[in-house]
Amino acid sequence: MRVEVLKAEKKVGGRKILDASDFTIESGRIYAVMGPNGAGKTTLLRILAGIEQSAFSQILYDGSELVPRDKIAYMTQSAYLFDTTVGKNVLLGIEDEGASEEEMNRAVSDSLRKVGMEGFLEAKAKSLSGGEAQRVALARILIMKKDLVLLDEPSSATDIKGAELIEEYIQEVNKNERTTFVFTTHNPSQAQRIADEIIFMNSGKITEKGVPSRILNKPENEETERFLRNWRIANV
Amino acid sequence: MIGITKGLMEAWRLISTFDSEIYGIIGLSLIVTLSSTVLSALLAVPLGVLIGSNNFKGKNIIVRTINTLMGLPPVVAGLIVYLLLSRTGPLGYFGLLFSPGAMVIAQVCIVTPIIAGLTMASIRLKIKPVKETCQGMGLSKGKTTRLLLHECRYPIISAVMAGYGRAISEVGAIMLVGGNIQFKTRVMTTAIVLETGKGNYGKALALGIILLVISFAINWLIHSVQEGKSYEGRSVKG
Repeated sequence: MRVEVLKAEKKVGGRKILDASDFTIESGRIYAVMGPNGAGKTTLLRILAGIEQSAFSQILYDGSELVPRDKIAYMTQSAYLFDTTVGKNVLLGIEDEGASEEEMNRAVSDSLRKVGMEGFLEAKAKSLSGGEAQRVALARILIMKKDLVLLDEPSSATDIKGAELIEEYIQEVNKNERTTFVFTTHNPSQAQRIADEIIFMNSGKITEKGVPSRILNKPENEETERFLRNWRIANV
Repeated sequence: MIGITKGLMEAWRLISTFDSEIYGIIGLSLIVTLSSTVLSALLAVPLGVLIGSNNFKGKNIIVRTINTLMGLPPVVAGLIVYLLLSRTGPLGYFGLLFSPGAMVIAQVCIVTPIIAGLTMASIRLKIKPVKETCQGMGLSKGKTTRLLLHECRYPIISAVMAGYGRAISEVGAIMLVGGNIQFKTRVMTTAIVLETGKGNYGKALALGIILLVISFAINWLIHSVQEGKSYEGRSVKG
């Protein structure tokens, strides 16, 4: 899905927390949204998902101003799982699609396997750790095969292995289904590994946008440079 | 200590001899309290869900009114229902005063705000993560509501239990609108008041013990139901 953001604006108590305009999310690509805390990354994702209402925003989804809710999936930073088994949580995303029970069960098992949670099918979701819950939440989102997937720090609670699995799954879905991904991250290495482009934000504005090699190695913006300095010293 | 022992012995004698008056009082107590709790739950749970899960103009006033009514003194509720049902009152035509029906109405007035208020509070705690997760998955409003109720089922059942606790222990309102008439509107709490007034401490204590046992048994039953239930969805096999 191609998304043209003509204007994305959000005010809270008279203060602009998001003021982004004139950028495009191209179909079938992976975008990493980076920036310091309070930069407006989550608000941008919520506005793109149509969850956050903003009268001042103008966004075109494949040329239409209507938010195609049935084609967009959004995963919150603090993954919420329902008080049932892990398997049933993942099943929730596809149970109304009319597929056979066998097909659905296979899809659930496959999806859980890809996030390294195949042994947890019958486990109580509330008994999982934060990182495990995040992986299950991602499996629940990706099984739905939406055109645009918005992920708010999808691996913030996982360990290195969990993050790797999540990244591999995102890349696989992107490659096979041509799904467009926009995810927020504080990890420049993660953005470098899987993103086609980085959108860098600060104080609610988009300060830079470009391919990871350029943004991470030669940031043009002073704020971006400051944010990435320590990482660049260690990695570049 | 002697009084308690005497009370226990009296309770055992009344139960084991199948004292018809005692069983009548227990039966009516259960009918009135369970009817008022069920009716209140049918009114209060949807109301609590509706208010707790939506933002609208005037919500604060409604929430504060419900919270105030949660502490409504039973005698005040009884007095209002009495005035409404009395022969000269607007509902006097139905001739309900001093009947079990009037007692149920009075208890519904007391119990409904309690269940609604507690349901509302539990919904407010869960609504944000549930709603955002469901919106993020593109689930319908109906499915979102179903999942919200599922997530809040324990606090909602607890709210109903709290309402039942208030109903079974309540005395002021049912005394006023029921009149504590023997074999007609006498329930355990009003009978305890009467027997204590007459100096029949043994019988009063016996009724008190039976009241506690019934209350404990119902709570046990509700807890068992709570623990045995889970999300009724499709099963997943690996």
